[in-house]
Amino acid sequence: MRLESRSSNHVDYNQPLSFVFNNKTYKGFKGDTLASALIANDVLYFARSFKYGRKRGMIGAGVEEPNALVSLEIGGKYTPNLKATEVMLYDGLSAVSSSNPSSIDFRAMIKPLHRFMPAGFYYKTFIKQRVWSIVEDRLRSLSGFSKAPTETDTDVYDHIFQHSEVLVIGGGVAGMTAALEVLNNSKTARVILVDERESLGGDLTNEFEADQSSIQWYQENISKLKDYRDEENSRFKILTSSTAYAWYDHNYIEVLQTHTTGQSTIKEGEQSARKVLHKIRTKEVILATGAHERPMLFETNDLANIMLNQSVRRYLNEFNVIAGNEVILYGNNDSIYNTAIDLINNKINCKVVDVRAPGNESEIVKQAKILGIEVFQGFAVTKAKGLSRVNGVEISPVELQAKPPQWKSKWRLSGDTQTLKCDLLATSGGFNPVVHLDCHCGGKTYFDESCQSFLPQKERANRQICGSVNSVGYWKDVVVDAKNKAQLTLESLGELREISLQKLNNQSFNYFNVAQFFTPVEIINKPKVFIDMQNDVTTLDVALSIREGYRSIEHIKRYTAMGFGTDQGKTGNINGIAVSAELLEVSMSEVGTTTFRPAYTGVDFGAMAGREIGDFFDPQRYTTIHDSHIESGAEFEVVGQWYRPWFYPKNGENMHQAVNRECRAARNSLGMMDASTLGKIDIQGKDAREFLSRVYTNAWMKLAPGSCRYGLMCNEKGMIIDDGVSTCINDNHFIMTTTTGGAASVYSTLEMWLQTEWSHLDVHLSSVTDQFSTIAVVGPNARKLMKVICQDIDFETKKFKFMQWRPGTVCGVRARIMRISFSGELAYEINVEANYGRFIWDEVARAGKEWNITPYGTESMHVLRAEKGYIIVGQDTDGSMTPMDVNMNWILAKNKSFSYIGRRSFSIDALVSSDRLQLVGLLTKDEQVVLPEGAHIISNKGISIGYVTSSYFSPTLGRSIALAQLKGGLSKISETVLVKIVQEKQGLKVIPCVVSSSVFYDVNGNKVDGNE
Amino acid sequence: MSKNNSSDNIEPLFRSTFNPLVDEAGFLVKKDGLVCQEVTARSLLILRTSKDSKINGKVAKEVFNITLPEPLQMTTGDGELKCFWVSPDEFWVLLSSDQRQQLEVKFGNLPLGVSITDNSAAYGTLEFTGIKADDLLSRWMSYDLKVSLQDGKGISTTFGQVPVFVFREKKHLFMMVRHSFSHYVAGLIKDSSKRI
Repeated sequence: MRLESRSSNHVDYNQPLSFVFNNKTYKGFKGDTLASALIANDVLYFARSFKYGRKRGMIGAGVEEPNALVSLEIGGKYTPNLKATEVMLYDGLSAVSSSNPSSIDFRAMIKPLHRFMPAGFYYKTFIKQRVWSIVEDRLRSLSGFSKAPTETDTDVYDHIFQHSEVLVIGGGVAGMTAALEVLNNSKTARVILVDERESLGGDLTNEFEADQSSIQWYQENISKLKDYRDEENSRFKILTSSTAYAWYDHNYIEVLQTHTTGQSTIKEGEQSARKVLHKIRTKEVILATGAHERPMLFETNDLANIMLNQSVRRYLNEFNVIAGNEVILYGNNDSIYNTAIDLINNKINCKVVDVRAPGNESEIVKQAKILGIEVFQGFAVTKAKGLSRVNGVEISPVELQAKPPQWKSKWRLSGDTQTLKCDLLATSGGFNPVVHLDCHCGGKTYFDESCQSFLPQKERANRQICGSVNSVGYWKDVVVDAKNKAQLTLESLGELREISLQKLNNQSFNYFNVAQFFTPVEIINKPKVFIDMQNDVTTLDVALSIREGYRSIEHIKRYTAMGFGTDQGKTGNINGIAVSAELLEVSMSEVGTTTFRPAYTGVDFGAMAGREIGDFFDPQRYTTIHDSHIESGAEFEVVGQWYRPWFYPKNGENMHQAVNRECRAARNSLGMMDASTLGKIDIQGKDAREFLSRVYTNAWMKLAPGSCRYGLMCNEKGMIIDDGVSTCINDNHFIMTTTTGGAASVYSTLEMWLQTEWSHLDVHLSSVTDQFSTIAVVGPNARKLMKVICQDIDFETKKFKFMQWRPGTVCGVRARIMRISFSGELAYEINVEANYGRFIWDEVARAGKEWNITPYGTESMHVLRAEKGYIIVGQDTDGSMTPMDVNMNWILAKNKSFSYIGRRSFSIDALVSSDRLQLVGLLTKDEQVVLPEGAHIISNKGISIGYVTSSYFSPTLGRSIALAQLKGGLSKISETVLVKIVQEKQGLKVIPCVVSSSVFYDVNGNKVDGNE
Repeated sequence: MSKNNSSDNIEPLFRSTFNPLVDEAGFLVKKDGLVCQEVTARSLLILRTSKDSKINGKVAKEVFNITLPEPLQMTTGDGELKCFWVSPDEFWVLLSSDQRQQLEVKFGNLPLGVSITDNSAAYGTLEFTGIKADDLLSRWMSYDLKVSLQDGKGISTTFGQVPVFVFREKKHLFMMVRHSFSHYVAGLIKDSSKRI
């Protein structure tokens, strides 16, 4: 219910909102969370537990909530597994529970059988019995989590890189103070303040009613912070609704910011991201992450309306809502008294049950008594009563026994129980500092006996801790602590030479006079004492895991599933550790904690991907002629990020028809191709020739300026890694071309050799791939065309021979023209500055109309080169092929003065064995059958003896052709082999093929000079 | 290998790197607080130097009339000429296309160990102005632009997933992008500018 008589700093009563939860419409207000609005509407149940199907209510008010998981919206805006406590209400919000508490659940109906479902139940029952595959889907659907989205997310998620000198994580009193102190004492330090809530202040709001000075402090400091933020060229940023979820090396921290309302905000023409992932690099971190309250343990402590004490207080003071009228506050520290006083001030009945014995009381306890609050000191709640929601508690006197020699619980129940009625039970078993982030990046924790918590290590480079995470509970002490830590931060930055730290007394460092963990064996041996609500882990599950022989808390965690899921043990894990310590009869310190790993909270996949989706998923590289290809209706294929024209269908042609047309044009008249994507490396220096000799297998020392040469590149193991044609510009200057996909790796390999082994060589490499557009003009009429578009070069065969290049002018643009061919036909490659690429392409197309010039794509290029038996590195080789394997012994120089990369390996017998896979041609007996690439060649015994690397239908030859790697292939020419293929819906089939030379067309190379 | 002033009758059509991605005035983005415009008619020469710093200094002086910059820095010369340190033996010389044509004759007589490669057509340059420029770039660039990239400094870094060269001059920020990545980079900029 909502206490509307009060004003609220967070809820705007002037802005009513309507929303839907589990198909029912409710009202709330702007500023509400989904959780607070549902409490205001008296909604009790939010989930069913994953193993026992028990109805569960809300426990927390923030990130620590384990039960109230919801999925938001539907379709493209659907988001699963959000905590209702973290979803800010907006008009029209629609949410459903991840596991519907209103549905009939067979798990809840088999209550008597629950005793047979302890930890390890699923493993022992299903996985060990090998029936897991049968039941997996059904069991997973019961896990209590939302269904995975089935539609594409329509929201926008951004990434932003941020840099700061100081990153303050946590915007409560500690974070605000620390940020302000840094800003006040430094003129240059950039500060980012991050907080997971919508507004700064943390739990200070709780103090507003009881302590007027807290309001004044808050208003003064928030105003100063906003002034800093709003300055021109401000060096201060406040990121609210932002959770720092991961801390990596070198102070790189990722923060996920949710748009204020959490709703999608794409409007026409204007966008804002639903979530933003801030990637922050900072010099110093001030950790002010606070602490999570932990619940007390007792029987059936999972009933609805059993909440954390601080959550009840926060709902009351921030949102003016309360889940009951008769409240019992139960705990082991003073914080329950603060809540009790707030409740009484709001005319809500309450009682306090405190395990601590009377005497030596703090002021707040005395104050509560003066206000007439009934207090049961030295009592413990042993059981919550009620079917699904709490309607009372059983309490029993407890006593603190004398100090035992070893760790054992000092608590013992010591008398008869009595029953108290209530409809809301708030518990506080102490506080767990939020050490998760600190531990992501190597930080250690230690167990502090005085505050009964695992605290982050005190000293750590470039990091300070302050506030609750440092075990300081009262807000005025927190201010002092934060100021001190800010000064230490400034000192570390070199911004403050003299620091004066204010001392805090020891009493400040134990939260709210917290007593020892309350884990008497009389309670932890009872059934249904839940440690982890999200995973239905009870104290008996921990006991069982210990009986089964597990000792390490990491193993106990995995055996019981304690701390799994979206909750990650924020409330339950430490209680689990305490129970383990009790049962193992060791100290908490000896048990230790489980490992904290990123992410601290759930992170949407969309937020991780950011805008790197769709067209931005991988860079798309286009040549300068790309738009012409689009205009021509080209289909594209991706080759190492490049979008290359694959084929150019015309008049409804399919790929086969288009490729046949393109190939015939190149063979019979004239084709043109955009070859700009080939890698190009400018090689200069007096040792450039020597360098080429070392990296290629063939000879380069005598290549004359004006000439080109094909080269094959191997790695140290003698395996082919690339090939291409290099051009000699002059004695000290060459331009190497590489394969399209291999350009980057070849460049880095060459640089590696130059910078490590051959640093004495005078050679400079520069990538010039993007500098040139390359247009290949291919076919018997190529010379005629070149004569039309370029008048300052003599194209006669004897003057401009195959494998030569000439400088010239093409359509007014200076060009390098190479006479090289990847098709076997007469061909020229025109290289011009990339800015003129489109122009030259268009001019070539215009001038070539006379010969019906036809643009062709990579598929036709593959057919043309395969007809000639030219290899493609990466297709006909796979990183395990030597030059001999592809029948290219001719390219291995014998008399180089220095040797070349890979040569030494060719002396290894295994690499020159005639039994290796060798490149051959395959001709199917049925000429129309095109073998699938990758198909295996099998022996008579059905064993693989090779595979098909390239396979096409050759329109020129009127039949299919294939290249293959065949074991001992070169000695099997003319033999028949069998290729096994898989036919769709027809199963396996064996195709007989004749082994042939890998050259199918123009075996003597007569075509390369054209028809003249 | 640029346009030749030959007697050929055809007038070659030069297309800048970001054409047709920019509008007719060369703007990729133009809104309050954020302007991104292509800078054309600039050339890029890659100067690779020898181990002998005296030779290098002499070449820089004789060919470009500049002093070679210190690491991460830039020096300026006549007109629009700028020289950036890129790595211990690599400098990028940015100059106008006209300047490049005038200097070309000197490239043939470089001493051993020194080389110059023309990479003018390989890169396009975008100029960012406006108070939101850094905000836009921080969407895709991990470098600390505000503090670490001061006037007169240039760095090689990445924008999204591709390599770029960024420098700041007279408080304007310039980014050089490889021709083949221009569509990708322009796409990222246009997309992010919707949310700036």
